[in-house]
Amino acid sequence: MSIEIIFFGQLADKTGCSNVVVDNPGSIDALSMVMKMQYPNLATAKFVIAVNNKIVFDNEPIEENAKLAFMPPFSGG
Amino acid sequence: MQLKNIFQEGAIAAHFIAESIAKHATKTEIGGHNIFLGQVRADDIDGKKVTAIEYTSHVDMALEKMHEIREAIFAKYPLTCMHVHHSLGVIKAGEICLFVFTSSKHRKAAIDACAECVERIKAELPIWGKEIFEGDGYQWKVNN
Repeated sequence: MSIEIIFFGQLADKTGCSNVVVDNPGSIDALSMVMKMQYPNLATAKFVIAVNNKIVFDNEPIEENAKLAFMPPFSGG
Repeated sequence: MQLKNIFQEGAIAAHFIAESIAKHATKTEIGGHNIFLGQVRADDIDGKKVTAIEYTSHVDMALEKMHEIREAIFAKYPLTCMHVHHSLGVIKAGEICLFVFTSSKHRKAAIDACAECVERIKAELPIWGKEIFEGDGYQWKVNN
C-alpha cells in the first residue's frame, strides 16, 4: 500500500515538490531514511513528522491511509 | 466537531478589528480587553528589504492544535471570550497578520491569557512565513 507525504515550508524547496506518494515503508524511522535517500537535501534539514495531524516523537508503525506531513520549524505570527 | 477557523486570506483590516471590539459592547460583564496585533516588519537582511511575508499552513492540523490551546487557556484563566485570526497568503510590510483578542472581568486574566496565547501560536501552530525581498528572492522566517 502506498502513503502520501506532504512537505511544508522550506522542505518543499529542498525536495522540489509539495507532496509525494511512496510505498509504505512500515515505520517512521524507515520512512525518514527512505525520504533522506530520495531527497538528499532533507538529510541536513530540521523537521518533525506528523501522522494524522499529530507530531510523532517515537518510531511508530505507519498505518495504511495515514496522512503524513514533514514540517520544518514553525514561523507563524 | 466543528473547529473554529482562525485563518483568513490576506491581511487583517483595521475596520475588522474595530468591528470586533464594537461587538463586545453588549457583553457588559467584561471589564478588560487585551489585544495583540502582529504586523509584518520590513526587516533589512544583508541589504535586502523584506517587502512582504507569504504565510502557508498545515491548516487542518493548525485548527486542531488551536482548539487544544483554546481549551487549555480557558481552563487556566477566567476569560469571557477569546478570538484569534491569522492571515494566509501574501501580507505586505505594515499590514496586520495576527490578531489575538481576549476579554475578562478583570484585566489580569485578559492580559496573561493573551500573552500566553500569542506565544503558543508562534511555537505550536504549523504555519510558515516566507519573507519576500524587494526585487528578487526570499528567505524562510525564523521565530525566536
